[in-house]
Formats: sequence, structure tokens, C-alpha cells
Amino acid sequence: MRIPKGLRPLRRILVVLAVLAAYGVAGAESTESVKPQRGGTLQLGLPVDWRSLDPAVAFDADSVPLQKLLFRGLIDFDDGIGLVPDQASDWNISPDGKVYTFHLRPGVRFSNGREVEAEDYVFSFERILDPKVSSTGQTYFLGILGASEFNQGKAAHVSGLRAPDHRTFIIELKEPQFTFRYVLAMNFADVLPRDVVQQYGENFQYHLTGSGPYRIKEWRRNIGYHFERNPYYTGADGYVDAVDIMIGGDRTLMGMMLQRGELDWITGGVADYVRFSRDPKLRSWIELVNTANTDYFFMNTEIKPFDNVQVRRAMNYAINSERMARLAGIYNLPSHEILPPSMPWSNPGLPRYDYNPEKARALLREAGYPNGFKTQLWYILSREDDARMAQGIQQDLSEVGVQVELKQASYIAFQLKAEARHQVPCGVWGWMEDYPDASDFLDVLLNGERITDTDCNNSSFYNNPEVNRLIDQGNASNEAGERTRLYREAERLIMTDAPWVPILHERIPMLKSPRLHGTTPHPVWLWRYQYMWLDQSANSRKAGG
Amino acid sequence: MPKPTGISLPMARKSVNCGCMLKPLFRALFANRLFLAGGGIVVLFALLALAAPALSHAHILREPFKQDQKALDTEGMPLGPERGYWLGTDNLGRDVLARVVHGARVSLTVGTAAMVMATVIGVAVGVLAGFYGGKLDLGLMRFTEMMMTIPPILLAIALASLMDGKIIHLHPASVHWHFLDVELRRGMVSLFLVIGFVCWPGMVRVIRAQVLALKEREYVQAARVLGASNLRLIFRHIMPNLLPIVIVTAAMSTANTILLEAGLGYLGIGVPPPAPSWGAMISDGQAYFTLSPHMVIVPGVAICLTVLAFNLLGQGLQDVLDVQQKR
Repeated sequence: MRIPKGLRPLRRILVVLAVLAAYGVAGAESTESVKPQRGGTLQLGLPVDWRSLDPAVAFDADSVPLQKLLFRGLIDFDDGIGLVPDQASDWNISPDGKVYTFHLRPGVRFSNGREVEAEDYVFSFERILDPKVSSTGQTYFLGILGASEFNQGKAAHVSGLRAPDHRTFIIELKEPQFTFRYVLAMNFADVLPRDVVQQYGENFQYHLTGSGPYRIKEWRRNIGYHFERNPYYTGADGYVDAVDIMIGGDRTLMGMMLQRGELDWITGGVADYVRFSRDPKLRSWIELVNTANTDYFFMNTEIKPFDNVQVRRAMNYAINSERMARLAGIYNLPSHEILPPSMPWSNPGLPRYDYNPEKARALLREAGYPNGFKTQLWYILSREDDARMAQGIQQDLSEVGVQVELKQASYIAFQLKAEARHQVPCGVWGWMEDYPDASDFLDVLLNGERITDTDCNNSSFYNNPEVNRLIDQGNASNEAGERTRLYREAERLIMTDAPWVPILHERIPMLKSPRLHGTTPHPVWLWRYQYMWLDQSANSRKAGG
Repeated sequence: MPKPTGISLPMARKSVNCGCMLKPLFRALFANRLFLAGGGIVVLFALLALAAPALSHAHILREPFKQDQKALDTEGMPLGPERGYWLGTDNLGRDVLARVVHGARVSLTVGTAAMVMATVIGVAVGVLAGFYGGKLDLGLMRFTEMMMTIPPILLAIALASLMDGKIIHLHPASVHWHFLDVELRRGMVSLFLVIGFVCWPGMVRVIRAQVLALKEREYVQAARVLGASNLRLIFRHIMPNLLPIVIVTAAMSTANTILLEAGLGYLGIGVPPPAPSWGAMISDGQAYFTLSPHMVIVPGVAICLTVLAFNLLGQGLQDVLDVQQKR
């Protein structure tokens, strides 16, 4: 999914201490075996509004945890990377790996009171594939039998989605696909009431209805939102009574509001992280969340001069990933690979491009650009880390003769531009894993067969048939060793072709108020609001600092 | 733009006779404390701005673009003012003193150029409206008032955001006169054009009022009777007597144009990075305010001083020129 909208030994020691302190507190909480309290209002703050919380549209790391409060689906991750039934009571996969059968839990209702039916799942999945809806999640569902025909407008329905009765939902794939089970845990697979969606059509995003523990009570774009309990929800999670989301205000402001008790959970800015980690009273407020993410500088291989592999390799040598990672925040890890090691993933023998401006200049001369060239670098305005990285990259590239004009765009505008053909020559972006599998990066972002003219996740428009073949073979295999081998080879080829300059693997410094509990990070979801709870006893309100 | 200052009408003069007027004028100017204070600061900043590239070249001042990893502390935070970095560094490891001095180039250049443009347009419109009167006056003044109802900063934002690199072809497609291609690119030129365009309405009322009064003077009537053409009346008799008020208003409006430039830079639509701009420096420093306030305070003080200086300069000029005219 897309990343959220904003060392030297001594530094590393400080980071480790901060992390240990944070985990130390978290550990103390779990050994206390304090029972979660129900009640209270969770106060959240986001610097910019999201594009939409509609499951067909939302796909960034700020929106997805909020969606989980409103929408649910068949299965979910447990506390780790294992899959467990959520609103399905049980499920099984046929021996040939193509047919998934789900039985829905009885008594599960939408927030308008109607019971969830298998037909709603058929509708919701078809909606993702509907060419009129143009969901970013289309690519994940194209493996379903009949999906391509429906997506291209050649069929009225997807033949592989069936509801033999109200309680049974069947999905048939064209070919066995190991990672499809993970797709079913993603937000795109959440269930929507077909009658409500059909009633409101495009305006459904103003009348979002799901089967999650909460529903939207107040909806004011760019100002704030208020979620209240879904009275029909029967699950055990969802401890707080309401969620208040404030939109706007920069991270410094939110840091101050957190200290005053007006917010409970925010993403800390770089300066706030350092300020909190220096103050012994505030250190325990930090929750450093590992993300299986890579932030990268992408080059559009269809726009000159990035169609030339020598130029792309020159960019890799010219950009100092170590320095960029530090500029973005000292808690980040510099990256020289596509896939984050925390996935978990390793790939020995990847081609490596260490910082070497001389070599970059030599490659540019070889490629026919002895005097460099001019280009435009796009980045998301609201992401302060990206802004710093963009300026850092501008500096590094100017030293090898490449004149970069920085173009800022809002999150929504950037996404529209970068995902369309022939628009953006290069830019800074990031990707966080949706599920713990290499295909989530390689297939979604770098498989040439997935390129579309708009809403294309492959913003490099990188298309190497050999890489495509390796990725497809990996997707089709069910054997872990073989998949690893194929994906590793694909990653090696990609790094040789260098459509990206990998910059860093992000760690997010979350800041929480002392009365907030249940913030243990999750390897896939990062954090889960539905398990957070507020200590409403009197002494917890004496916030430190 | 400052409201009309209500400067009293200058005593009628046929024309400004440069020779013997200037000496007592200069003496009066240099005796006026406001003029000295304001003028002194402006001259100092202007000299620094002019000398900035040479100073950086000679290594007296650091490079404003150089991002130095060693100029950040162990946690990647900016350094505060210390030996070696007199005003500290910013979040990318760049020297704040160098950036604020180079930023003066941007602010003063854009501010002055925008003021000149606003003055030229404002005087032209004011003179035409005041001198010819009638329907022309009506049309021009209503247009000016319409421009004044649009909040300047919003208009500036809208115009500045048009500067996205598009190329406008002012020639028909069939004719390849590429010298008539205008590229809408962000930079100092498009910035001063935008700001000048936003600021000219403020001058018009003051100028027009003066022209209306001057037009009725005896010597103007006399010249008209003697057969002087309108153009001659405008350029020989009216414009020179407008000079004092134009100078004063121009000085004060420079303060506004500089503030507007800083505002646009703060919003991220001023000169594009990495060019140092005071407004952009404040915006960059906002996230670090609690730890490294110098990132915000230094450019903020620079803006304050500059705006104050031009206001003092204008006030001093007004006092002196007003008094001079009365004599």
C-alpha cells in the first residue's frame, strides 16, 4: 500500500534506546495483564484529508487502519502474519488451489441494520473490477475466473464469483495463486451493502456503510470526522465508544496538542521525535513502528532520458541513499534493494550502487549526456520527509550535471499524475507491504503486464518480459523455495535495469498519550485502532510534559 | 497598498527645475531621522544582496545551496548559532546566514521590480482617469475597484499556480514565430509580474486624486489656453508634480510587495527551490520550531527589518517632500 500522507554509532545507540524504551513500556503493559477498558473517545489527527475511505479507492497507510473501523471482510490477519476468519465462520481452498469457499457468520450486520449476504460479497468484488469504478485494486482481482472479461466490458458479471445461497460465497480463480488468500484480507475485499451502493452510486463515499465496529456520524471534508459505534456489530473488538479525527494542522501543532491531551495518537515529525526522545518524561510516549516499506526515487522508463539504462544506473550512483535516509529522519534505514528486509526477505548478490558521483558522470557521458540534462522531480507536498529527500536528491543530481526542477503536488494530484502514462519523468514515492510476500512489491509495482494507461501502480512503466515471466511463474507456484528463487532472480534483474533508486525503509515514530493502550504495532496493519483503548481512570490524565 | 496618505497639494510649479531644488532637498532628507534609519537599512541590505555571490565566491560567506551532512548534529537536527555557522544551519545542513543574505537578493529584486511595475501601471491608469475624466475615468476606476475587491493574496496564489511550465503560443499555429512563445515558469520574473499585477490598484486612487487637483491649477489652464496639447500637459506639467507622491507611495508599496513575495514563498509558490527565499525558509523551519527556532526567527527578522526600513524610508520621504513642497 502507499506510505502515509507526511549514523553514526551514537545516533544508532539513541535510536536503539528509544526503541527499547518504547518496547519496554509496551512489554510492561502486556505483563501487567491489564484488561482493556471500553469507553472514551479516541482523538486522532491527520495533516491532510484522505482521498476517500471507500474500500475501492483508499489505498494508503493512513486510510487503511481507519477503514478497518468501518469495513470488514471474510478474513483478517491475527496478531502476526497468519490468516484467521473474520466475518466468515470458516473457509477452505479446493485441492487444485482454484476454488475458495466461504461460509458467512450468521448475525453479521451492516451499520444500517441489514444482515450481510453472500450476494453483497459478489457485488463488492465485482465493483472492484468494474471499469466504471476504476479501482486501484483491480490488479489484485484479475486472477479471478471471468474477471478480465468483466473488466473489459465483455461480460455482465464475473463468472468466478458465485453465491449459491445467502450464506455461501465461492470464488474460482483462473489458475491457482498462492497470494490470493492475502488479497482477501486487504481493504478491497471488504463487503459493502449492494442496495446502498446502487442507491447512491458515485455519492456512496458520502454515505459509507460497512460491517465494521463503527460508522461515520459526522463527515466534514478537510475539517474533521466523527465515528460512533455501529450498534449492530457483534465482534469483541472496538473498545472506544467513538473516534474523533481532526484534519489539518502540521505535525508540530499536533505534537503540542498531544502534550495537552487533545490528541491521543499522532505521527511524530522528525523534530518532535528528537524532542521527545531527549526528554526522559516523554520518551515513553514514542512508539517506533517498523514498516515493511521502501521509499524510492522512480524513473519513468518511457520518458527520455530515463529510457536509457545507463542514465538510470548513473542516477543510482549519483544519489546518496545514506544521506537521504538521514534527511528523512534518523530512525529510517537506508535501502539498496527493492524489498524491505523486514518482510522478511533477503537477497544476497544484488547489484549494488554505492554513492559514487564520478562513476555517475562517467555513465552519463557514455550514455550521450556529457553535460547532464534537465528534468522534473515530482513529490507529495504534504509529506515533509519526501520534501527533504527531494531537495537532497536535487542537490546530489546537480553535482553530476542534472538540473532538477522540483514539482510539488497534493497527494491526490500526485497519485493521478504518477499513475498516468507519459506524465511524470521521475519522482519520490514509497510502497508499504499489503501482505508479507515478495509479489506484493514485484508484481504490483514492477510487472510490465500490469501496466495500464491510468491508475497504474507501476509508475516507472517498467516492462521487462524476462522479469514479467519470472514474477508470473513465482505467482503461480505454491512451493515456498521455488517462489523465493524466482523472486530473487526477478529482483536481481530489476536492480540491474535500475528503474528505481531505492532510498530508505521507513520507520514511523508514532507518539501516543499516556492514557492510550493497545498500541502494539502490527507487522502488516502497522497499528490497529480497533484494539486501542483508553485508560479513563483519574491518575492517567496527569499527562507528563 | 497603503491607503491614500492625504498628502497636501504641492504648491504649483510650472515644472521641476532640477538644478537649484535638489541641494536643499538632499540636506533636508539627510537631516530626517526616519529617512536615515530606513534608508540606511535598505542600502545595507541592498549592498549585501549585490555582494552576496562575490562574498560566497571569496569564501567569506558560505554557499547557500550546499547541503552539508556535517552541519547537522548527531540526531540529524540543525545546528544552532555557533562558531563557523554564525546563524546556525537549516534542516538540510545549509548555512542560514548565507541563505538569508542570498535571500535578500530574491526579496529585494522581486520587491523592487514588482513595485516599479505596479507604479508604472498605477500612474498610467491614474493619470488617464484623472486627466481625461468622463467615461474613461468611469471605466478605469470601476475596473480598478473591481481589482481591489479581489483579496490580493488569493489572486497572487491563483496567478502563481498558473506558472506550471506550460508554453503559451502567442502566434497562430501555422506561423512558427517561436520568439512569441511565452513559457509560464516559476521564477523571479513570473513572480514579480504576478505581484506587480496584484499591487497596482492601490496606487491609482492617490494618483488620480492628485491629477484631478493639478489639472485645475492656473498654470495648467494657462498652458492649455496657449495651445499645449494634452500629451504636453501630462508630461510637462502634471507628471513632474506627481513625482513626490509617486516616490513616497512607491517606497511604502515596496514594503507590501516584499511581504507578498515572502507570503508566496511561505506557501511554496514563490521562487522554486533550491533558491533561498525568506518566506520558504520560514516554512521549512516551522516543523523544527521547538528545537531550532533560529530557522524561523532569522528570516522572520530579516523580513521585519526590510519592511520596517521601507516604511521608515517612505515616511521620511513624505515628511521631507511634503515640507519642501509647502515652502
